[in-house]
Amino acid sequence: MSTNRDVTRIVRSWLGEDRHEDADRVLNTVLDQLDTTPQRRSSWAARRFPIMNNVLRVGLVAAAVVIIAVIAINLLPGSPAPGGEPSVTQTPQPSATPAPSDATAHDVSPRAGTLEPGTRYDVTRGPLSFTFAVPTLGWQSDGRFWMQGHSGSPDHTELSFALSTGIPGIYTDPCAHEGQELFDATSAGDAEAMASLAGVDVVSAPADITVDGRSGTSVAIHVPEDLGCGNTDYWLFHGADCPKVTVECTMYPSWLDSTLRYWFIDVDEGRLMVQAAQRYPDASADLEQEIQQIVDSIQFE
Amino acid sequence: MDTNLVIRAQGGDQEAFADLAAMIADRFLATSHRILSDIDLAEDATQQALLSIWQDLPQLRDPARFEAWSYRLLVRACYAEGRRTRRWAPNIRLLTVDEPMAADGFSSVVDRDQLERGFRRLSLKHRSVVVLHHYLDLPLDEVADVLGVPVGTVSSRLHYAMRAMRTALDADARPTSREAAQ
Repeated sequence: MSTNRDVTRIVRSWLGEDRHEDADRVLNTVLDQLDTTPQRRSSWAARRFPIMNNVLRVGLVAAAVVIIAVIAINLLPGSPAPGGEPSVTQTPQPSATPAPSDATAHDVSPRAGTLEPGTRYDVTRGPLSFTFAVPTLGWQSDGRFWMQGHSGSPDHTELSFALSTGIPGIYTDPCAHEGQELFDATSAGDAEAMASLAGVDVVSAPADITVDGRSGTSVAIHVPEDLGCGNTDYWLFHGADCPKVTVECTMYPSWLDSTLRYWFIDVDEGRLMVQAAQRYPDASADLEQEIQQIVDSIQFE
Repeated sequence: MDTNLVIRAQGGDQEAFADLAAMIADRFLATSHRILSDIDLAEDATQQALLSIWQDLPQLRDPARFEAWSYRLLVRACYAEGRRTRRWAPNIRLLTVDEPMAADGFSSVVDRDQLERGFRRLSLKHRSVVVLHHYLDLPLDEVADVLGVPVGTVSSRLHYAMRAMRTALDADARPTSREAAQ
């Protein structure tokens, strides 16, 4: 039986074989077509106002005024957040990872796009509803409970919200996706299970926390680079109703050499798990505080 | 990548574009060949991608991002070719006894045949992730940038694809009941 490393080596070797492609013919064909293939310029530059008739011009100006008015109203203090309104009709966006199995038609996530500092965003996971805010620019929602922060920089972080009913436990061997350990009934047990994972370094030991009056436990671990599996093979959680370990059951791939912070918060509906995966080891000193500010901003309904 | 060349090509300089295209054409063809597993489709996809680059270059806001942007157009062209022409006939090869063995132990024709069959069973999205990461050596976040999807999605696709390849290799390596009985 092949190991993951074997397969990666074999596939890389196979892909790297010389297949004797010669692009000269393609290149010449393309260059021959340049004269008859116009470049597409910016659409705004191409559509000059002088060629518009007056009716169209007045209509566009009126539309612009309405749009500006709507934006201004939304930005007034105390007004509903743009993109943060609960909506059961929004279209699910492609998920960064397999969607937790507790997702229902009534779940609400911030719409895909930029998260504005100071705006409160609604989240509903099953029976649990809460709001949160980001303290700085640089955070984006994928529309499915995953927020990406500072993508493309050393502070790249992925933050997610999940309800414990959709995540029954962790793999004790995340590299091999073996050894399913069920979370127990307490947030302290959840945090202890994370801290006890084989091979990981505990960055912050399990500690009691309070988020919006709810008690819980936080823990932070560092996943070393030399665990013996590849970046795409390290999966911490298994999904619900998965008696057999399959690709469909594994949840939340995690980066090697990354720092994973967890907040397990006790709520009436179970436990809310907030996961913040800090991708790079050389993240700025402010990042941890920024993530903590997001967690501290959570307000349950 | 020479940013000045990109800027000149953005302005409609055909000579600059010709230099740019010459620099990337071989790699584009090799990449699309691996994604599509068919040299004719790969040539069509490469041609379409290069023409799209020429047409849309003026709309590229940051010339420094040319590489990721151009690979995105290439992958789109591969998807389009894959949809347009669904001729995924198995690539049957004759087995030769004297096929040399590579230093790493892989490389028998049988291995290649297993790999090709396993790879063809993957969707174009899964193949693209494998090729961008394992052939072009792009880190996963750059693959995500090229494909315009979250890093987690890239990670999931790669994980699925490599597991499928492993299953294909293991299944083909498993002795048949007749072989096992002998």
